[in-house]
Amino acid sequence: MLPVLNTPGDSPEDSSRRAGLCLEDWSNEVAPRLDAALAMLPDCLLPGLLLRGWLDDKAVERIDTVTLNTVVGENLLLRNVATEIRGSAEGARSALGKYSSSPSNASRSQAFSKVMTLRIILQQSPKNVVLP
Amino acid sequence: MQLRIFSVYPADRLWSFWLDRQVDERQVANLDPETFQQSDWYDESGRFLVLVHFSNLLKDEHKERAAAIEKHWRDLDDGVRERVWWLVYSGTGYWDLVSTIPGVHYFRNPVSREWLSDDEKRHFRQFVSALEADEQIGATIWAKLYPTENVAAATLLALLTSSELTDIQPAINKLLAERRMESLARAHRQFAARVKQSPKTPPTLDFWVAALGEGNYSTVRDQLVEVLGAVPD
Repeated sequence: MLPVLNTPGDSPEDSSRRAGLCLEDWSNEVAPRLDAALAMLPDCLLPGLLLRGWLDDKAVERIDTVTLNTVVGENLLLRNVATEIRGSAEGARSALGKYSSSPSNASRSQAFSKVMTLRIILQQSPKNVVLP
Repeated sequence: MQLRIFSVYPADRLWSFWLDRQVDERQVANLDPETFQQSDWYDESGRFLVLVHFSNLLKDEHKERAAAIEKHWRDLDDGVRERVWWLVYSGTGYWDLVSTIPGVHYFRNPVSREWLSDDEKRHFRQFVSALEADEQIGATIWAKLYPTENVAAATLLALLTSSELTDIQPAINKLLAERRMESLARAHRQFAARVKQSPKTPPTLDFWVAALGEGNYSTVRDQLVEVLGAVPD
């Protein structure tokens, strides 16, 4: 999607077609995967996932609470990862919608910027359980 | 074993830096099968790793294109095929494409232009080192690109790093009693890399690696006892 978003259309019709493709790609490919991943955050990154059954519930809760305050990116706490991604995804979805409804270089550029921001946040997010 | 690494179409990743090795960048137009997908690319001796970025020309849903790429690998000459590996990556990662042959792999994780985590770099370097070794390479070579799914080791690691937050001794004892030692040894190695401070002098990473390299589990275990207190037999 990003290479398409990063290329101006040859004509208004071409821009409109590109915008439609990007929105379709978002709806069919990106959004369902993002929703599935976000539904598991941040629980799938907490050490409690591994520690239940070995430590009592109170200890697991304490460790998870400390872990949620771990800095995992620039000004980004683990507890805020899902919120940040959701916010960025909403920004990308909205920008793609605007690009699709009124295709122009400005709306295309805005959509590119929003999708790129989302990608950077996703790439910088932890991929494994975060240890305290 | 001599290994030559190519980065093709478009060569815009920092592979040389990430792998800490020479990587020859080659521009290859589109999915042109007349280039790295031909035997004459590999007329030297030794092994070849080709890092391929097809961009939007190969996405998860492009099963037929993937099949064509795999056919080109199968069509490499005898004597060449077993020396050539194509690692296909993208900025978003391949979620669905799974190679049907040993010489081609679609990397699951996204590879950004500018950044690769230290953990990912380590796995890529281990993978390259394995290709450089004289041993025969099997189809499981690609597994070196990914962290081992070792739940026991990860659990021990999580317990160890929780030591300042709660009493982990009963859980450590139970885990050591129930789980296999090689899993735990791996956890020790990971733990050692993460040790930042300890009430006593922490064992160094070099120590752990040397001890584990000799398969001397009891030495590792003794050190663990020293750091954490008594551990049952």
